[in-house]
Amino acid sequence: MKSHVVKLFDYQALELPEELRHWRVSNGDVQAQLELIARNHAIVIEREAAEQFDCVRCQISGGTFGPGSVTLVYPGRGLCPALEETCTGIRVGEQRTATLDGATVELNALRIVCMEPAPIDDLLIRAEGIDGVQTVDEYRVWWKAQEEDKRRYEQGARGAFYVMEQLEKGSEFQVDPEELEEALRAEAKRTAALYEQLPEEMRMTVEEAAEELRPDWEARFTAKLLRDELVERLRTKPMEQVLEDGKTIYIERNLIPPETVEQMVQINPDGARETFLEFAVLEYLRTRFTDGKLEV
Amino acid sequence: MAAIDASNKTFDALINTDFAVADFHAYHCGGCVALAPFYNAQSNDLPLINYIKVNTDDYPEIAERHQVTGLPTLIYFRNGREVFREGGYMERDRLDQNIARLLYGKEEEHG
Repeated sequence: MKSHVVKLFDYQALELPEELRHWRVSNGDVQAQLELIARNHAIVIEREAAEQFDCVRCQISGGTFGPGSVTLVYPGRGLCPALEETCTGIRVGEQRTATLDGATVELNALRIVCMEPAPIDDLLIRAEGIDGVQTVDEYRVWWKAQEEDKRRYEQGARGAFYVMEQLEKGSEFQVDPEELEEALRAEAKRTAALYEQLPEEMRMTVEEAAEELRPDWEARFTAKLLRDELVERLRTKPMEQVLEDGKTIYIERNLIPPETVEQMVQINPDGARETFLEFAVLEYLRTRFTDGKLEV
Repeated sequence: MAAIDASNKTFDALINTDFAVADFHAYHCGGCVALAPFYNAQSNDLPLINYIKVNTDDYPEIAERHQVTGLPTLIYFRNGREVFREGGYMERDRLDQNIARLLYGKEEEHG
């Protein structure tokens, strides 16, 4: 192949920009998580008069509401400002009138409740049913470790995309026009064949597919050259294993059922191969990040 | 209050209230995973609406009975009857619009 990577951008000492490096969990984050659990276990408390963010269950009539209709109004939530304003301060059994979309509606408050978050205590933590985590202090340590692992993973994934972007921008390629066109025609044929399975009005000819692909084809072609170069330089396993690993990561990241991926392989084996290689490279790079620094 | 996981036994009882929403989801569904935090946050803010989650991998019968063909799908109920449904990933603004439609929508939707 005449087309190839002439010079690979020097990515080995690349550092992530500051905005991609946040993965530490603060005490504030842990507290916010505890408060979220407390809200998840909130209990409903009856009220006499409605305050902001309470819920008013009321009988409503007039406008588009037929006789005997019941609705819920949540003052301060912004779901229906006219009714929410009318219900602020309303007491159980009280009737009020509101104007909704130009029509007069009558409201009669049947019940008023608010949500009271559960106390943040060991009982709450035990209700979460996490193996080996019984107290608030244990939960703080457990959640912080879990969350930092998750954020580190996400940071690595963002870092891998960043490295690939830098490689695409900073590397030099030699592109043979004939090979470029040949690859475009091959992809257009594959695309047109895939469209064959769709209803007639959605199908496209090879020519039409080629024109659709053409605008960013060179970028896709050089990205493939880059990926192949990286796989050859970095792989320590047989290519079959690299592809299998890429497939596994592709399934995990995209939450795609394995049987759907097998269909994808059968319908478009070359396209699937490219996708799995891309994910294998991204996963390799992701695992090489430590504290925002790439170590290859 | 957190959304409640429904089963074949509990689903009908859970929707048989003034207002309920059911989120049909599955393990291998990126849109469902992305929707979940918004759905859970709304369930914490709006008491007296039953927020239900139906895992269609575990309970395909409920999805079949309610003719759910794509995931995620949210079905909005009033007094146990479906009022409307919407499919696909959505964020909090859209969820709030849907709840407003359920609570204050057109006459034919009041049941």
